[in-house]
Amino acid sequence: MTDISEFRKLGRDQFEKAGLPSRKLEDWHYTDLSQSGLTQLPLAEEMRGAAQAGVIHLVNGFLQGQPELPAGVVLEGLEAAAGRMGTLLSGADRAVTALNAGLFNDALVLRVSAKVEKPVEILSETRGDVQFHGRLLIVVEAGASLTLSEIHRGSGSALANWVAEIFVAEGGELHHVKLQDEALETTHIAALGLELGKGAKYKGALLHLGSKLARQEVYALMAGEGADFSLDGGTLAVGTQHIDNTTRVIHRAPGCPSHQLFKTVLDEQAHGVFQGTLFVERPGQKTAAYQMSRALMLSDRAAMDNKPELEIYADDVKCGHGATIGDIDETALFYLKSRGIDDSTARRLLIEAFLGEVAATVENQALREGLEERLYDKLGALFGRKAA
Amino acid sequence: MSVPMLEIRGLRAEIDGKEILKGVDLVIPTGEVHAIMGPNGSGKSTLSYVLTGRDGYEVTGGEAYYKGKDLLAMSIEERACEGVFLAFQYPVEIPGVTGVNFLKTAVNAVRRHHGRPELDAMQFMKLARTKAKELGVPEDMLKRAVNTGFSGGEKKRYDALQAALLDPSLMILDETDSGLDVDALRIVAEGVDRMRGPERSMLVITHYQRILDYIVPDRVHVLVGGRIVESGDQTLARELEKTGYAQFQGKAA
Repeated sequence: MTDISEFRKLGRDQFEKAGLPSRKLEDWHYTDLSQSGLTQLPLAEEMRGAAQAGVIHLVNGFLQGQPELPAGVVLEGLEAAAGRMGTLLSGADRAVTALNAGLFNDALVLRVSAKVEKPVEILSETRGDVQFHGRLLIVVEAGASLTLSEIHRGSGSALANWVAEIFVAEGGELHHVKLQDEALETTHIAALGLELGKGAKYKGALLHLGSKLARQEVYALMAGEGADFSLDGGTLAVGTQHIDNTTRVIHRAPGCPSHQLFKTVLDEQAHGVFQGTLFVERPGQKTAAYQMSRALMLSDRAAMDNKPELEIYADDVKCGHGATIGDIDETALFYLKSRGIDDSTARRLLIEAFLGEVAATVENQALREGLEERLYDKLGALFGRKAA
Repeated sequence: MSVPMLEIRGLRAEIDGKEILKGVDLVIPTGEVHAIMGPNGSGKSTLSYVLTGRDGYEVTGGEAYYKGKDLLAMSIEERACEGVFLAFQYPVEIPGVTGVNFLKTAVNAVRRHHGRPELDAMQFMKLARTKAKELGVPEDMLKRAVNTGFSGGEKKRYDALQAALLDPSLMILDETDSGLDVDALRIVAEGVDRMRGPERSMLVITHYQRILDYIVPDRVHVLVGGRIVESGDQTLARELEKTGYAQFQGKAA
């Protein structure tokens, strides 16, 4: 892709042909957007304001002011990204990604050229009953490292459609925390494409608390020998929230470990989805891949769909996967209550612990505590509502 | 005569429709330590769970009074707040819940129940450190997840620490010797024995006599086939060690 206007036109054409995905597509079997009317929403108008200290502030995908960035991180123009954009996540087989390519406003393009200690924090705010298409492209150069935090929140019956492409070159490292904390009217669709070079490392923690409907796709390509991918996901969904995590980890190079643990807590009539594919190509010998989805059901009206898949073409690999769906552990509950803790508090402690393990994987203390605080707030609100 | 700590009359209970306790009678006066000994499957653990209110154990007959109050009418947490404490045969691992969070929540639940002000984080840590030191519980166990990755001995000491913090009136020890080697057993049992007092009673449930060398009981009862078939003083425990339970099997029928 060389010309941005061509890129956009291709995206629009691709989307026009495909339309919003329906459950007829295997990948979208549990999350149907075809009747959502989301593309009828007006496109967000350009909004510009002053920068906020300490964060990269985006409103409906528009960058606010000139953010301050730590040494070793630069914000680049769209031209700099032209050669890479769309190479990890193509609109050819992803209608929602094509829609994003056709309609995105600003693209946030970051280049990381050093070991950066201070986290880079993105605050994305959704405002109004609109659709917007945000785009992120990050290049972590060889030997460089970055801690990236994303918080998505706001208000409105909006469609927030994000596409993020992240390249980590040889020996580079990315620590990534994403908190999806949108309003309960918002639809949040996000695709993360990731390419890891030789010995590169990605460590992610993903927490879904908000949205009426959210879908996070993760496409991770282990392109260089010894690349290391690790992602812990947590979902707390209540009411009629629908949260979908769909991952595809591709082991193209040999000797790469990958780890995925997704934990889901569903109450009331919430619906959770986990679809995960581990794909080991022929050269991916000595792959050590692990994938697990664990769901805790607090209501018999909640529903969870688990679809773990393995596709392996190499003959010397270790792949483990599994999925569990269950109730709160009765023995643990009895133990807590036998110490005087009431039923509601005991349940809350156990759920906090279950999802808290996702936050606990975050190495940066401030980011970890921020994640825990929001999780505990939402749990507190849920149990407060139940007690009332 | 004053009201006993625990009074059980004709207690019957079943699990999944199978009757396990077939009419248990037992009175433990305040300040006394009683032991219940019995072979596997005699209903020892069932008795401890029925007294603490665990789900799945259905009481089909009889009564149990704790300090004169109807124990069986109380919820699990009410019994705990009122001062009934169960030391588990196998304390439960709860990954992700830190000891401090768990213990502070429990201590404050009991304080609230008695109308006493809750402890803040600082006050609680001071109390927890003091009690941990007395029991030889390393402080780092407070920060770790509840029982997670603890050895058998550590788990039992951690249970003892909980007892020390909650200050119960009736302690039920369910086969506390399970999973402990001789040294660990001695440390745990001596810790429990130090908690004896004129206002506290204990019910020590055990298969083997050895724990009773450290916690010498006032009375020993033999539970066979869901009934108490014999009661006596501590010499009964020694006798059982020699003769086994076979002599009582006939009595249970």
